[in-house]
Amino acid sequence: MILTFDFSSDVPLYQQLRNQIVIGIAEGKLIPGEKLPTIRALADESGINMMTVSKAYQILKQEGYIVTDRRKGAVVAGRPAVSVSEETLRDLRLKISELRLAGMKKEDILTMIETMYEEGKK
Amino acid sequence: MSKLILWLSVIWLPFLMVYLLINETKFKKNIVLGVTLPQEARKDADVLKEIASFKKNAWTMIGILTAMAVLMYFFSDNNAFMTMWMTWLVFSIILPYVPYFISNTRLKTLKNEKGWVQEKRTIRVDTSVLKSQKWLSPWLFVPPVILCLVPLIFDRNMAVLYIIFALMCAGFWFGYRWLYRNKAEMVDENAGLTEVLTRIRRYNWGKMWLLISYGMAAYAIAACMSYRSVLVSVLVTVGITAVICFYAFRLEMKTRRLQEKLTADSGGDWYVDDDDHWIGGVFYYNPDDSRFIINQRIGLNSSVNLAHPGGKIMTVLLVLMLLGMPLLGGFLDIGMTKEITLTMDDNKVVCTSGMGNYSVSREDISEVRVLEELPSDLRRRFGTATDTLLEGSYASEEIGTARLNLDPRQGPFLLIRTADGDVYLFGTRDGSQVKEVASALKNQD
Repeated sequence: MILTFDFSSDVPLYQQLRNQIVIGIAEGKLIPGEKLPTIRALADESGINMMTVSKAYQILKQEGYIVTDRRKGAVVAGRPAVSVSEETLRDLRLKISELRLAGMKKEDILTMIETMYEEGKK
Repeated sequence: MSKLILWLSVIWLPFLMVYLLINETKFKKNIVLGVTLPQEARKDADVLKEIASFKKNAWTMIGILTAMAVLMYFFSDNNAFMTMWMTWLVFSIILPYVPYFISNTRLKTLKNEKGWVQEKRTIRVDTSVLKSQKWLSPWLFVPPVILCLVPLIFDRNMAVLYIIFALMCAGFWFGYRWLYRNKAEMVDENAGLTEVLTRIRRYNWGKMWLLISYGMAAYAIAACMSYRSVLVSVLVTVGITAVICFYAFRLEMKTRRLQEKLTADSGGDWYVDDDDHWIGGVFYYNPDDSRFIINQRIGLNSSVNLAHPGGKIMTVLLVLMLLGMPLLGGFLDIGMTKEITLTMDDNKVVCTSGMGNYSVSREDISEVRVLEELPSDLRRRFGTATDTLLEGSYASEEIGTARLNLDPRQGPFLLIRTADGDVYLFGTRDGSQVKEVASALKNQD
């Protein structure tokens, strides 16, 4: 899986990393049980501070997307997070509102969501 | 003789510098003369014209530097030579980069004009490559450490030297491990290519450090076996240095050739473009990168991130060192040609040269002898050794380990042994004061 970090983005780097791993798991690019790079390796590779990578991994662990093992390191969780947080639902509501304000119709929004959902299942 | 050896030892430097820079006119990892360009640019007339212009300017630079070296050799006396030699050395390191910088800037302008710019301030990481990296075992560096210490069995006089060599060999493992940026050689989205390029670099990087370690062990063994003859010792040292340099150069070129060959088809839709962080294609400045050590994009070498505090300090030190080299040449020259004085002062024997001052208290002296000639097997442990001055710690079968401060061209020499077993060998530029001090010491007995 290729991770992209945009240093000119307003989104913090740890959030960029967290988001990409979540998308990677959803789209099947990262499968349950797959080892993630160690914090040091990823920090060395990207030039990002180790604390930043560590923060992203901690959030992913709290959210249940990864588990950490003393021997194996960070591994993609066998069962993704079961509960959807209030924050995620708030984000979804905000994005739908933005799409409505942008002039998109309900059918178009639903078609787009369906397409994206199917892409993630592949 | 020293002048010729000094001259011959560096005359090849501009040729090597320019050769390596000219080698960068071949596309490797989509980079030419420090600028990342797409596949289509490889046949672009403007790019090819700039490459040809660089080659021409680089050869002109060689001509200028060689002419300077010849003039320096034939039209300078020994006193001025050292300063000029050091200045020329700095020029040989810096000047070949002038045409490189010019061409790099022109190519970057061309790149912007032709719209060959990739996304900025973005990096991509291929996680699949990060899982298969292994380091060489530190045990591989143990045999050269042991080999450096083997001569201690036969020769205790040079113990310090052998121990320093052994410590350096051990230090090479740390160099191998920590002077390498653990980063994948990503060129484009081809994960297989990234992995192969990373392995090639890492393999040759390890080989290079092992080569240097075993070379150091060879130095230690050669020093032990050839100390009886200065000429043999010099020849063996030069020979080993030549072999190490040759193989190191070969490893560098082999890595470059593979980088060129394997990325010949790269540069399509998306490719890594890190040019914004490379000033003039040579200096890495990236505030977004928290790492101090970084890998050069072409070949094997490592470099530093100038945006990192450590990188800034290192660069300042390097610039000071380069600017200080001509001054150092002058100081060394003064130090090595300054008058050597040998006097009796306050019941002490005092010997002063441009490189060191020695003083031996009269009451500590147990033996005084005048030698007409220096021991034939005299060898340096550490200190200065030129045609006009031997200063520092030396060893020989005849006198053991001794502190020297003398002009080897002019005898006699004053040998002093103290009750503690310390040995001193002093001599002046005209030999006059040696006999006076010797007789003064003997008369006091």
